Amino acid sequence: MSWTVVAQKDFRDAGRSKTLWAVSLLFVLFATGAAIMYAQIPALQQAGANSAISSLGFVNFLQGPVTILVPVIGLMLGYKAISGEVENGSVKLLLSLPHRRSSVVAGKFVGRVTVLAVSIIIGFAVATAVMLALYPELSPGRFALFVLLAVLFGAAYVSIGIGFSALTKSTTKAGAGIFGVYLLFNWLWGTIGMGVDWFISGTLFFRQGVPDWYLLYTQLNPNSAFRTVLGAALSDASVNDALTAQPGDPFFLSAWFALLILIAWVVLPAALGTLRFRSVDL
Amino acid sequence: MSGMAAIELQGVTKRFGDVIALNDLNLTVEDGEIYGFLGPNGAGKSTTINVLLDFVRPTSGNARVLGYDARAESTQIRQRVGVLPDGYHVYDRLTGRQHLQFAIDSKDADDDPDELLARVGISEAADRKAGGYSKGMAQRLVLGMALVGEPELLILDEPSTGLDPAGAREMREIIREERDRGAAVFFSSHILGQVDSVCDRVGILREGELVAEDTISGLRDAIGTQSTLVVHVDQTPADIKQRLRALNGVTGVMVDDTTITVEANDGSKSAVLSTIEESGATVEDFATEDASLEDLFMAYTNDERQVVA
Repeated sequence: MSWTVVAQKDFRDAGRSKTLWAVSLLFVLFATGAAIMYAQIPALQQAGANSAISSLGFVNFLQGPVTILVPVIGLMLGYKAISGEVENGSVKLLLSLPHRRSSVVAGKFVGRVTVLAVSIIIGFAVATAVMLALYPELSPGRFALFVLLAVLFGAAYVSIGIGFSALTKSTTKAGAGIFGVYLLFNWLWGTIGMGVDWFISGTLFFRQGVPDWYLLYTQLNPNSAFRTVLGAALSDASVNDALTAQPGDPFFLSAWFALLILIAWVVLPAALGTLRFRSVDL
Repeated sequence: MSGMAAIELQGVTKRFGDVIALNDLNLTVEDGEIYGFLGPNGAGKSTTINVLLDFVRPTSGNARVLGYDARAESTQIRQRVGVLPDGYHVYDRLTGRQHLQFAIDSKDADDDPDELLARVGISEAADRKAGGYSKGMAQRLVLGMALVGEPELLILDEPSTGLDPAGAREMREIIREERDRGAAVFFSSHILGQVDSVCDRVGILREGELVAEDTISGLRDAIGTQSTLVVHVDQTPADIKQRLRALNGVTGVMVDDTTITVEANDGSKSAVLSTIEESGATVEDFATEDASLEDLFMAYTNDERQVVA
């Protein structure tokens, strides 16, 4: 398969990037630091049934920082994937060989998600070791699920990054694009929604109640989708209960819908990038 | 593959906005021949190669490589063709051997990377990252990648770029070996000297159009009856260019201060001299040089010399 050859090459190549190793190291430090901090500072621990330190509480504690850091790694891994090769000319070596342009995008996506997964897994493996040393009670299944979802979440941002990198021949423009996306999803999404509500209802801060479209709009943000899925995956409810919506809630608040949204963010940006990359002159 | 053209371009036009890079280009490279694709920088050589590899899509016209359509069947083409592109960049973080292994895996070939590295003369750099290679070493590495899988056709864009004279000679040697193995070779150059000793045929591209195409010996025959007349005069009459160009057998005129250079048939020499005298100038000195292939190439490609077809 052509894309597996590209993915292998890309994994080797991107895996040797110093920037990436710096980011991964940051991730390891962050996860380890968080583990130590969580174990040492009681105020951070979830006020559970017996106020015990639990891996579940740790995971909840990690969720916020992960939502901030994983997108940065994903976007950074993605945004030069195509644009960088077009800009410096190495794409001519790549496409002198019998690869389809769609295989190039697919291979790069897989290669870079693998790099991301390695970086996340190493980071959390170190954190887990610290956790086990400090507190032996850990539910490995839940923790593994968390890591898996974090990789899926990161894959969505790799896809967005690759989408931008396939839309433009300039890494500068792709870089501006991912910076904008990061701001949008992390800081501006809610504000924009509130602005739209103000425009529609004429009042600020949802004084007339939160409309349904706003709830849907919130779920479309990959960060919210990730939080919703994670919340369900780590809850004590059965899988079926956790995934379906609460009675009376609209379907789009359910975790399975959030999971679909997350998967759409994994697939669509890279797919749109592929369409564009297939049609351009190099 | 016998009887099928290695490359066939039919009426290929490529526009980039207002700029016409290729203008209704027709070109055929036969199976098993070495074809030198000549022209000054910017003539459209790389664009032609980019069309063959589906890097750019022609505005109109049709390109076939080894019988496959350049647009619809590009992967089949690239499976069977070895390419040394122009303006490429190696993967800085991968070693020479990893580059070759990537090409071998991509083509599902069974070459030995070390053998190829030895053939292009960079065995000692096999395990160094290509980011530290000189331009000449990178050129050798990419040539090695082009040789993977015994391609039926080699497409080499300015292959001597960055090579010293010895390297350029080795490059020509490899091109001949590949032809002897049975491959067709299509390579571009803006320097005639790299081409005439190795090519079976040459085509000269200028401003997106093929202005000449012949075998090297055919070109030599064509210019055998031509010579360059360099005439020193006391003054150059304003209309001297037009007067000389109107003469039968004159193919090019260049005026530089008090020196008039004329490309003409051997038989037109006296007419040239008398025309200069008649126009009011005094001939102080003149010399004749037999035209070389280089002169012909310059005449075809240099803007200052107006070629009268």
